[in-house]
Amino acid sequence: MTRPPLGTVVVVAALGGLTLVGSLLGRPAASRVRTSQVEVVGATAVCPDLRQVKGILASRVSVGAAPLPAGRGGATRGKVEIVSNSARTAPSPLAVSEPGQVAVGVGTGIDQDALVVSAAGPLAAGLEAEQVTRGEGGRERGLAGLRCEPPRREAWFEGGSTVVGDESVLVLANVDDTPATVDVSVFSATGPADPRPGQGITVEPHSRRVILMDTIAPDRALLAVHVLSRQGRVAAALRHSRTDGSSPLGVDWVPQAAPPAAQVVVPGIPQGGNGQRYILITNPTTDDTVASVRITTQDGQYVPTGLDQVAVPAGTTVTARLDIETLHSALAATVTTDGVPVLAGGLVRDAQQGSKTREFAYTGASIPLSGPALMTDLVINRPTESTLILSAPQGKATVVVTPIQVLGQQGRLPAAKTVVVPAGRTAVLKLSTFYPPGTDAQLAVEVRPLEGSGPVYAARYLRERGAHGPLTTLLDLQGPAQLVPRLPAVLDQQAAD
Amino acid sequence: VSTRALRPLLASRGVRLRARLGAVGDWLSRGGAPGVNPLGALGDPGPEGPDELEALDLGGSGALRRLLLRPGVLLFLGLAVVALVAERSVLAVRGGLLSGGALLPPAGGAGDLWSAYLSSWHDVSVGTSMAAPPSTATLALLSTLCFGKPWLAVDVLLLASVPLAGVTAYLASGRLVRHLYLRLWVAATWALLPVATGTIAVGRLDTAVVQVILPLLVLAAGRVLTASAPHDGWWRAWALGLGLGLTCTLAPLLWPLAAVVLLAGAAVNLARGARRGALEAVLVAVVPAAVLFPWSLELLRHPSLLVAGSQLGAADLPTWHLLLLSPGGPAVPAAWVTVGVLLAGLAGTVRADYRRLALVCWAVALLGLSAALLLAHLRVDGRLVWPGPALQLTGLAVLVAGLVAASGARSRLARSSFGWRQLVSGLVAVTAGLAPMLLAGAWVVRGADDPLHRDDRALLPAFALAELQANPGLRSLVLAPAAGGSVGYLLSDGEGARLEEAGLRSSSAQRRALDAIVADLASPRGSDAAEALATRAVRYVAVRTVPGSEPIVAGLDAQVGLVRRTSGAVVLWQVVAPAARLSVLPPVLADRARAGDGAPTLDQLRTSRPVALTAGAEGARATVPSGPEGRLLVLADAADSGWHATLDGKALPSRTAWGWAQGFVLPASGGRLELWHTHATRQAALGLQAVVLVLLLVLSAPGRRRRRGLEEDGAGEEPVMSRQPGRALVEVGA
Repeated sequence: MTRPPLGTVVVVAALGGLTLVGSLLGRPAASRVRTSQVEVVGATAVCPDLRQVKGILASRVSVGAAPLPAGRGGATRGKVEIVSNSARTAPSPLAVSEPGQVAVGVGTGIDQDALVVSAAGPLAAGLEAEQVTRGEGGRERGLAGLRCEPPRREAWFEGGSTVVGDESVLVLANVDDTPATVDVSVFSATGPADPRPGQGITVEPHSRRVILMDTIAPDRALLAVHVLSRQGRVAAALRHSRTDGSSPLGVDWVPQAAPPAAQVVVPGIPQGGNGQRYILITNPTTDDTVASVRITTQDGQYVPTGLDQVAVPAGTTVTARLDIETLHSALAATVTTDGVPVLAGGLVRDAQQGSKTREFAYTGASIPLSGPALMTDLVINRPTESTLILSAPQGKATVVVTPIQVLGQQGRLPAAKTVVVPAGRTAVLKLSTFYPPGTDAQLAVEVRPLEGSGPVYAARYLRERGAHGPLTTLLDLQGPAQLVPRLPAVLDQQAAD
Repeated sequence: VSTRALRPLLASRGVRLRARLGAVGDWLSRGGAPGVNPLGALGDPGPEGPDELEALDLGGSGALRRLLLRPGVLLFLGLAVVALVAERSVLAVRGGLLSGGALLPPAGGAGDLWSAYLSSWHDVSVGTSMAAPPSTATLALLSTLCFGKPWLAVDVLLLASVPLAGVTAYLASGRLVRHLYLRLWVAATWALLPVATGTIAVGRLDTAVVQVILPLLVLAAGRVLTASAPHDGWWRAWALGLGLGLTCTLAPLLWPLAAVVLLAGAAVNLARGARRGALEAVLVAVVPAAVLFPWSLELLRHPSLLVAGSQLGAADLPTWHLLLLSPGGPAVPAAWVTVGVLLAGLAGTVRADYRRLALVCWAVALLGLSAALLLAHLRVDGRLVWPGPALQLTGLAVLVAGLVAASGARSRLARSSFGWRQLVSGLVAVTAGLAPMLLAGAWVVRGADDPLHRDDRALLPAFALAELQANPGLRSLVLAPAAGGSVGYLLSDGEGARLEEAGLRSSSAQRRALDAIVADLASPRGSDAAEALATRAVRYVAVRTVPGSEPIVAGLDAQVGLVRRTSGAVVLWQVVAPAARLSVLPPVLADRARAGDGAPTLDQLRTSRPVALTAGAEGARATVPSGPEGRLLVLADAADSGWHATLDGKALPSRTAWGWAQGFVLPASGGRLELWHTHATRQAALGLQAVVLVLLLVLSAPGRRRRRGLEEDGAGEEPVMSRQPGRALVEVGA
């Protein structure tokens, strides 16, 4: 037998052929599904605390729907409705009927209540609501602005104090039909506070709890507050005001900060005039850490002297004062640790020559603009200046700022402006420059980073030169989440395992 | 000569029975061939033919010891030990139910399986009137035999499949070879093939059963195909068809594979001029369709049912692994382990005297391989298909070809002078001989679990489960991260899917609708998915905290229509909108439901609340209050023409609600409501099936005269490959 039998040859050839065919066909690509990005079709924003005291305190809300990029939105019309939280009535529609419109002066008739703004259809994708309370006198003299956020399970705040002269108020609004149970835990300059008083706070459906932080963490400075629902959801907000007994020393809402992370960016620290600027860093973990604070100014990026190694003990808040050398520039601060997640925020104090009255404003760690963002409540008049602060800590960004229609306002809209933010720089745009000097106007703008831009952080600083002292507030811009991830779902009988 | 004339000359029935009992006793106790039998003239050598038992006769005494030293028994015990060690983490002593992979937990009793099989409506997902697959009936029957305990039936079928497959392969191999070690080798290798161990790990009852029965089926099929003369009637073909059909109830994929082989055999028989053999082969190929009736009709409409179920194909399976009998997936050893088996199989084709048999084996093996390739390229419901069932056929065929090579190889090699042929043969023999050891070792080291596992974790927290049980018809939705980054979901009554729900699914339109709703639910886009779930009677949504579940949890937390109830190992949300299985919608909601909208809004539910009625698990009897005109009675089950409702005896007109659910128009007046799903069609079909089965049983029973044939079956038959090639039954597959 010198050659293999024919049968063997045929079988081997068939095996080889099958293998070849199989390899050529290849396995079907493993069904690696792609997360699709879908339009938001329903959104809720809660403005947690509207109060009206004639002549002293006035709250107002502005609501806008960001314009949608061309080709999105479809034919269906959306609607925006408002209702006060405790009302058992049907919501009333708002005049905003298509994307790219803004309504101002909403909710001025609501006192001691939260306002629920809900949007459906194409308007939901760009829903943005902002609440501003202006105090003419008393303990809350000043400007306090806040973005109205959706009810959430978890919220972080970096700011507030309960030492003598300071008053911090936590507002918990439950806009759902079921009760919510909330745990509030507090960190401070002197470490974490006793957790017991903040445990199991119940908020009944369609109601609010207004809690003095003294009852949870008395006599603590530099608070960091964590609100976590055990059950249900709440819209949480923290207001801090300060007085020295006779003259008010300022008020502002502490914005919801980005959750703790090993690197966080605090945007929107304005150019310092007479004030002081601080970065607040809280370590909510049980491990001590060291943070470095790198600032992105109008002239470049650097780590200020002494801020390369800021010790942040476990459970403690520390402040990093931004020194005089940076006062001439608006900036964003990037806080980086060795892996321990930290919470960060910014505090800007302001004063006016010849007045004992002071004012301050908070900003919190934020996320880059996710898309077009709206600034809905811009008052253009002589003593008030709104400044848009744009920082691009990583790559060059080009941002288009386009005025959009405020319902009820007549006249032609000013032309759009394009701001180029070089990589590692901060740029500022005074919004009064849209009009000739001396014009009084109510303005809303869309802030949209162009395709290909690096991450850009945006904030608005509102400063009014009042008769008795400055009125300031800070608001970071995030851009409504127009597109959200949507994973495909598949039936899986073993889902239980 | 008539039988009647011969009768007095034959031993009486009593004597024959005694002789047979004696033979069994001998076989059991001595472990040897039956002794000199006074009735040897009748050709009755006992239940099993002779084999080389002397090889293991250690001369011990004691019946038990001698029983244990029978090679078949020893093989069983050895494989059982290997299996017990490998299955250490899924043995029944751990408590809980076996599940995972393709296996659903066998909760409940045999009665649940029977009623699932008989019922025309199944509460799977949003409900389906799909016919239950015949596997449910087979499992119900087996569970009834296992004292009414499905878990016992599943444990035996799955966990004992390796030693049982070894024994059947050992018995069947006696027809081919006589050499003891060869028989042990082929039996152990068959029992431990990667398909066999993989089948346990992925919890597939179907392939486990095939692994046990296939050697016997192939043996019987060989007899039918090679029967040279119409010797003893058709019952053999009927019986084989019935056996194949019953196996196919669990493993339907075996049917097309077997049908191709049988039809090819029929064609060969026809070419040979053996019309009877050809007809019998065709008969065997067709009978399973009758056994599987009425499901076989469903199969014609949806061929994907053949490979449906929880498929666990490996995504990165190279084609040459299939060649080495490795189906991919869990509990499959390194592919090279079986290379010796393949080489031995190839060597079979080199041998001159039985080349035909080897080539027939290879034709079957190549058919199986082609089928495996096809399966590996299929995707059902977006999932890769496990090519295991086709590889079982290939595996058996290659092993038989290997037997051809090995039988008498020593003496043949001894005749030629030493050379490369001896070297190659020795190498092939060593690699092939080591294969079962390596397979067993790999299996024991890896363990038989994962994804198969045994536990009794509850799906929902106790309070939620109690609430769902107190309100039959309410459902829960469980989400989990699924393969490929998607969200897997299960809509059930709170206890998860059970064995009787295997192979049942709601219609594709219902599934698509539910897929979209669940995807919306897990996405923070602010959709009305939670309210749409409430119309499906879902009260709780749960996610087990596992790696990868964070985005799902975040998405559900952002959902306005859900409110979180518990956190921890299982995160649970309650659906805010009221959920009920049977409810009366006020006119405002009724209009929206009739228009086919997805769901009511929370505001609408606040102002006009639906009235919940008590409902049973399937039908309902309730009192409907009177109310305004234009109300709609909605059952949170898929719309189906089988649903009927009467109010005070008057039939209510049927409507589709919310675009998917069964609704009925209610008059303004109230009254006594009766709601039921009609079973008539299903019962008629099952009656027909019972008649067919009885008919098949009668046809496959050997007649009085033919019983002799049964006794002679295999009696004194020489193994196909006895030492003298001249006496071999070379017609095998000729």
